[in-house]
Order: sequence, then C-alpha cells, then structure tokens
Amino acid sequence: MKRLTYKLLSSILTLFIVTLLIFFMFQVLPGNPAQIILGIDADEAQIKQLEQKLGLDEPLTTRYMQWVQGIFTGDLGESLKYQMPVIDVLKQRVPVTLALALSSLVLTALLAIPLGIFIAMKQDKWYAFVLNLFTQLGIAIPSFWFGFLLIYLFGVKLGWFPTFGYTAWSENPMQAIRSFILPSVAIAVSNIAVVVRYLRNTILDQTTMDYVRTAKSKGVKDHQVMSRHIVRNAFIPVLTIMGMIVADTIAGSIIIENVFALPGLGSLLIQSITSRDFPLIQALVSYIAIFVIVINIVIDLLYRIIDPRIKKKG
Amino acid sequence: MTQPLFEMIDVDVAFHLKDGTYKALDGISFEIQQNEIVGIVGESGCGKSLTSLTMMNLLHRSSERTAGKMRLNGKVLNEQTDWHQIRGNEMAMIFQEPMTALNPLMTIGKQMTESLKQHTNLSKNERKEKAYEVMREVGLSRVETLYRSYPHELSGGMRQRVVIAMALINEPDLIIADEPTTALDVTIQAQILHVFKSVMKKRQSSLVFISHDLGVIKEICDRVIVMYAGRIIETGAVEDVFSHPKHPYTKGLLRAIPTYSKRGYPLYTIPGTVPPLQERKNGCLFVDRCAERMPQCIVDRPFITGELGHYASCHLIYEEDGVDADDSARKCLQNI
Amino acid sequence: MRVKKNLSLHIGYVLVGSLTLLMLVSLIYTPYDPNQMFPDERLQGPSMEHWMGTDNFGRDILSRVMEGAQTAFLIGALSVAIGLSFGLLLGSMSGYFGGWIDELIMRLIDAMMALPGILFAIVLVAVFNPSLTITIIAIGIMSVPSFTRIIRSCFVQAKEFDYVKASKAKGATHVRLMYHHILPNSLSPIIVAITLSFSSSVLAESGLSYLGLGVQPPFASWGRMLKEAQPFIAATPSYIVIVGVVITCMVLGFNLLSDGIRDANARK
Ligand SMILES: Nc1ncnc2c1ncn2[C@@H]1O[C@H](COP(=O)(O)OP(=O)(O)O)[C@@H](O)[C@H]1O
Ligand code: SF4
Ligand SMILES: [Mg+2]
Repeated sequence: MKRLTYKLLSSILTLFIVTLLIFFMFQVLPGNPAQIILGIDADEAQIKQLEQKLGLDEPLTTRYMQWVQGIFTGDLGESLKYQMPVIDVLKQRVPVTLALALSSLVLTALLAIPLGIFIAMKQDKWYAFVLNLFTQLGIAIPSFWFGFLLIYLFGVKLGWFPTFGYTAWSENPMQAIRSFILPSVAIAVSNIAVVVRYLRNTILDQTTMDYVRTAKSKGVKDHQVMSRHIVRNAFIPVLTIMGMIVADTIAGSIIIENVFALPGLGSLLIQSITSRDFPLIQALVSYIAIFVIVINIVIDLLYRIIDPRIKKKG
Repeated sequence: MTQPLFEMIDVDVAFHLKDGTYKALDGISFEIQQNEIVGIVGESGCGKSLTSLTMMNLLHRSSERTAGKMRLNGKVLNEQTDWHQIRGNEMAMIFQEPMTALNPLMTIGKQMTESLKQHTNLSKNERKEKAYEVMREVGLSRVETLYRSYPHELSGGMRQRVVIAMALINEPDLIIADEPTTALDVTIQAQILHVFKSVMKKRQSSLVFISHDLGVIKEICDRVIVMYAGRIIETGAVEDVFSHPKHPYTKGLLRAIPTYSKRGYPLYTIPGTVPPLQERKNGCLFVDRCAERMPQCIVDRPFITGELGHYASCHLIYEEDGVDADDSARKCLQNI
Repeated sequence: MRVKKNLSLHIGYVLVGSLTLLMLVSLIYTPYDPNQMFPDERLQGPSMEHWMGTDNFGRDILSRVMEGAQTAFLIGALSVAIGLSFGLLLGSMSGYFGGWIDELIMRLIDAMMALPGILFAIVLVAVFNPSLTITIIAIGIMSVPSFTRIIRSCFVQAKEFDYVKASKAKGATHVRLMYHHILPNSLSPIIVAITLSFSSSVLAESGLSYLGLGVQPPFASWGRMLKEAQPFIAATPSYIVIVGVVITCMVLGFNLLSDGIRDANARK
C-alpha cells in the first residue's frame, strides 16, 4: 500500500503544481486582460463590466481558490466566444477527441505489439535494419504532414475516405468510423514507431534472462517461450512509456483535429486561442492535464495487476 | 560394457568474438553410465557451464559446437535432433541462480507443470497432482499454497527446491545440475545436497553435478571430471582422485578444500588465475601456475593417460611411470 | 551488426550535414529572393527554373526552404540552450541533493509533462502573442523535463562513484563537485539528449507554425509553408510533399545521429 499512497500523494502535489502553473501563467498576461480580450476600441464601461464578470477585481489568491474549486465542481464561468458555460462547450467537444484518441490507441496496440515482437525475433536478419529505419522514419515524420499525405492519397486520389469534417455517430455510424480512420492513423504513426522500438529492446533484454534458459531447458518451443514467458515480462517496462504514449496521443489529436477539421477539443483550443477566450483555454488545458495525471495513476494500478512482485512490496 | 547413457566425444566449442574465434572447450570426451552420479569440477571460467549447455544444445548465439559428437542412449545428437523432445523429457537441467532461474510473473505451479504439458497428455489435475508429489519429494511442504505462489514469495532455498522438482517432474534419464548450491548459504547448501542424495537414491536416473567445490563433489558423486581452461585434465572414481590425485591442478584444488583439521590456518589457494580464452596456446594450459612445470610443458600438450578408469593429462605422469606418450595416447583413445 | 549501427550514424551525419550546408549557403545565396513573387508562375511543380516549384504566390520554394532552414536551426539551437540550462540547474540539484528538493523538482517536471509536448507551447503562445521569441522560449521550456530527467539520473549515478565520494571527503564544495567532477563525466548522455531535443524542437516548431501559433512573417518557416500549401494539396501536391520531406529529413537526421552516438558510446 505504501507505494500506492505515495503515488497518490505525489499525484496530488503534481496536480497542485499544474493548477498553479496554469492559473498564474494567465495572470502574467501583459497589460489588462479585459482590455486585451476586448481589443483596443473597447470603452471604459465595457472593460469594467468584463473585469467584474471575470472576477478580476478580487484578490489573486481568492480567484485561484475559486478557480480550482470550479475545476472540480465544473463551474468555470462562461466562454467569452460561445456565451455559454465553459463546461457545456467542453461537453460538446469531448466525445470527438476521446473517440479519436481511443481509436488511435487501439490502432497503436494492434500494430505495434505484433510488429515489435516480430522485429525482436528477426534481429539477425538484414530486414531488421530496414524495419529499424522505418520506425525511425515513423518517429521523424510530422503527424500533421502525414495526415496531408493520407488525405491526398486516400481522400483525393482514391476517394476511400472523407478528407475532412466528421459525421456524428448518431447520424451514421459507418460514416463516423470512416471519418476517424485517417486521423487515427496519422496520430498513431509515431506512437507505433516508439512502441515498436521500445518493445523490441525490452524483448531483446529479456531473451538473455536466466528464466528464458530455464524454459528452454524444459523443452518449451521457441514461439511458446516468446508468447508465454518473454512478452509478458517485456511488457512491464513498456508500461512505463504508456503514460507518455497516451499524453502524446492527446497532443497529437490537438493538431490532427485541425488538419481534418474534426470538432473536438483540439480544434476548440486553437479557435479559443484565436478568439482569446481565456476562461475556455484555461479550463481545457487544466482538464487535459488532470486527465494525463489520472492516466498515470491508472497505469500504476495496472503495474500491480501485471507484476505480482509489487503487491507484496505494497 | 553396457551402453552408456550419454557420451560426449572430442567436442570443441568456440566463441565467435569481435577479435576472432576462440576455443572455449577443447577436446572434451566423457561418458555417463546409467544411474551414475558424475561430478564436474574446476575453477570458475574452466568451461563447466559451457559443457552443460552444450549437452542440452542451449549454447548462447555467439558460441558454437565446432567439432565432436554426442550420443544419448546411443542416438546421435546434432542439429537435426528434435531438442524440444529431449529437453525436459530425457535430459533436464538445474541452473545455478535460483533467484533468476524462475519467471517472476508466472506461478510456481504453472512453471512446474510446463514440461508435463509439453511432453505428456496428462490432464490439468493430473499434472497438478504430479507437481504436488515431486514438490513433497524434494522436501517442500504446504505444496498447495506454493503451487499458487509467485517466485518472489519464496526463499532462495525453497526456490532451488522448486527448480529441482521442476527438473525431476518428467522423470528424465539424465539431470544436469550446474552449481545448484553455489548461490545458497552454507546451511541451505547442506539441505539441498541432502535432497539430491535422497532423490537420486530413489530414482533411476543419472546426474551430472557441477561444482567448483571438490568438497561438495566428494559428498555425492561416484566419479569426477576435473576441468581446467576448457580441457579435461583428470578423471576417475571419486575415491581414486581424492586419495591419489595425479594432476598438480587437482592436487591444488584438494589442498584448497577447507576442512576441520585445517582450522586456524590461512586457506590455501592456487596462485594465479585461469587464462582467458585469447591466451590459450599449445602446451599445458596450467603451466603458468604449476610449481612442477618442466620445459616441455610450455610446448607440448600433455596427452591423457592412466588406467583403471583414472586418467590425467600431465607430463609428470610420463616421467614417473616411464610411459611412452604415444603408446598411452593410443591406449587412452581405445578407452574412449 | 557493427557496420549497420554505424550506418545510422553515417546517415545522420549526411542528413544533418547537408541541411546545415543548405542553411549556411542560404546566408549568402538563394536562387531567388525568397519573398519575390512571380504572379505568372504560381503553384508550379519542380522545373529547371524552380527546382522545387513555386508556391501560391509564385515564390520560389527552394529559396524559401533555404531560408526556413535558418529559422529551424535558430529555433533549435536557442531552444536547446534554454532547455539545457534549466535542465542542468534543476537536474543537477535534484540528483545531487535528493530528498525533498528532488521530490519537489520531480513533481514540477511531472506537472510540466502533464501538458504533453506541444500543448505547453500552445498555452504559452496563447498567453503571449505568437512570435519568434515566444516560439523559442516555449519550445525551450517544453524540452526542460527531458533534460532535467537525464541530467538527474547522471547525477544520481555519479554520486555513488568513488572519485566523487573521494573529492567529497576531501572537502570539495557542492558546486565544485557538481560542475567539475560529475558533469564532465556525464557528457555523452547529455550530447545524446541535445541531438534528440534538436529534432523535437524542429517537429514542435513545424506543428506550432502549422497551427498559426509559431513563427510569424517575415521569418520563413517550414511549418507555415505546410499551412499555406494545405489548400493546394490536390492542385500541386509536390509543394506539400517537398516541404514535408525536408522537415522529416531534418528530424530523422538528428534522431539517427543521437542513436548512432549512443551506440558508439555503449560500445566503448
Ligand atoms: N558470453 C560469453 N562470451 C565470451 N566468452 C564467454 C561467454 N561465456 C563464457 N565465456 C568464456 O567461456 C569460458 C567458460 O565459461 P563457463 O563455462 O561459464 O565457465 P564455468 O562454468 O566453469 O565457470 C570462460 O573462460 C569464459 O571466458
Ligand atoms: S604438464 Fe607440466 S605444467 Fe602442466 S600440470 Fe603437468 S607438470 Fe604442470
Ligand atoms: Mg558456471
């Protein structure tokens, strides 16, 4: 239990620092925020009114406390652009981003795991080198550019998928899935490459372990040694990068939603930056950060399920 | 003579390293009879583990058997052999490190029964019963709980018992134990040795027991093979080798055994170390460390000579016995 | 295997070397003025006159790519400098002192990593207005966590080395120990981190600029070129392909370089 308690406490500390960072980052805005939001031709009264609406007349610490409270109660004020509660704007957009991130993660798992195992098993062959180069390429390619290529090839040339926009699930499920395929691939490419490389390395590390030799000495066949023994052990270190993969998927969808004009959080973020909708930006960024931190806690719990050694140590 | 259970004939094993290919085993020949317990002894780096891995065809990628033959029950063992059928079934192996020899993520039960799953048609329950039985045989108690445990929940001694039980479970003809007691502390060592003795008495199988400690070998083995720098330098019945060691290296190892009567004196150690692979030349490889060396020792490799099952390779022996080297070599080859 | 591993180092050298050369040449020579428009020659594919074709204003893409290289290298170098300086400060304190200092710094790093990759930079740009300086600062801060972690682990390891313990026993001051004894021995992982950080800064810059939150005109930027090219993907695919390939080569080059350096060090 000690480890879990530590993890939870340190996550809370992290969360506290995140909220401080985000809150105070928006306090250092050069000049008067109300003025900036409204533009130079706003008159005195308008500015006063907005200041009050944003609560800018209160002391800093009070505002911070209120804001943090708002994160948990969902009361984060009104979006300046949409003229409706921030939380409602977010609620509309969340499903698209979640679906996109999830399908991209599933794709990553489905492709990266077998590929990583395959490359590890073919270490001595020349094509291991070629595959290595391909994974390097996968990491190097800007995801949004890869998105363009996919649009050009499968959308423009072949016409298999819609090139932009999205159809709601409730309208037409088939069409909804089709509109997610290309963006998911674009986000997944670099993650697939990262996981393949990492898994290959951890598998190779495991192959030299004593327990592998023990398994072989029992007459277990090579592919079973791999599937029953090595892969599971190789997964434990892979878990450590899972948090990063999830975070990168979120970051990836912020850009990719803009490439494919999908109405998720990513396109919302860019729009609200352009329209200087600070309450919305602040809320959106905080929720993403909280999400990432929670994912990391979940991964820590997963460790305990996979690795029996941790339960004992507590 | 009856057919030996296992034979190794003139086997060389080489390492392909960055700076070249080096022989790590050089002309290894021995045989194991049915029901025989054979010890292999030598300092660390002499090639004992390599010999055992060669027997199981489990050599690391960078090494390779470059010459020689092996036979099990008269069948030739080579690359075409179905090793999966042999390992864990006809020959089983026990490794040195009980801490790392078990898969940390798999229950003891699963690992124990893996070779039964591989080699028999027993049902899951039968496999479990069989595992309980062997676990009790090696002195483990509360076997039902152990069966469901993970390796980290066991002490070193318990793990080593599990590893032994795992090797025994399929009733192999030959068990190879590579320093099964070295990593354990003294009291546990004695217990594990006891397990070996009692188990081997009951079972109809042979055992190759590897150790760097002649004292341990003396306790349980019938015959001993002394290795030095990848070569066999002396072999014979345990009583013969202990009472009349022929090779200066064997004599040195014997002097180095800590015993009650030597209490209080600084323990003898053979000066120097085993030459690394790259520095193994012709001639006697022990020459740098031998107090009795002669000029010819540097140039000529001593042949293995002897009689009545007690052989050694040292130039001293020809000197003493006045044996003609060629003649004794011929005699020796006939014996093999 | 040895030759093959060196191969990634060599490919890395070639890619980074030729892009560096391209950048250096652009300082004194570009085929055309990067901002000169040829209204009659808009959106052309590669030709003898325009090796990489022209963009939607009829500007020479090669010249613009060359000028963009300056921006990419400038942002890379300066953001690495920022990331490295903060990383050194935080990482060395964290690894050297341990305890609650370590705990606090690591939580700060975790907090920064909770805003994954480009998101942190996006937030910074949202607060201040997009500009070259903000882009550099944002990408620099973005790379602080990875530098901090690497340098921290170097210091944690080095603390246990005998020579460090010995100099500590002789009464060396903390600062002396950290920067005269430990740091020089941690150089190779830091060099690897620098090359890696260079490549991620190129990626981040192109992403930011694509979103319109990065480098603003008149500075040329590869990412903004992609943004400008997007509407013409069907008409002139070569525009978008060429610029993307250039970015990929730059990132790939630095990644291969860091891989090669790491392998070369591991073999030693
Ligand atoms: N992976 C390896 N690479 C290079 N040389 C090795 C390797 N493993 C063992 N050797 C060499 O082979 C020789 C025999 O090793 P080993 O059989 O493990 O000795 P022992 O078990 O008697 O201690 C040693 O001299 C060692 O240098
Ligand atoms: S052959 Fe010579 S050097 Fe070797 S053990 Fe015998 S006497 Fe010593
Ligand atoms: Mg050994």
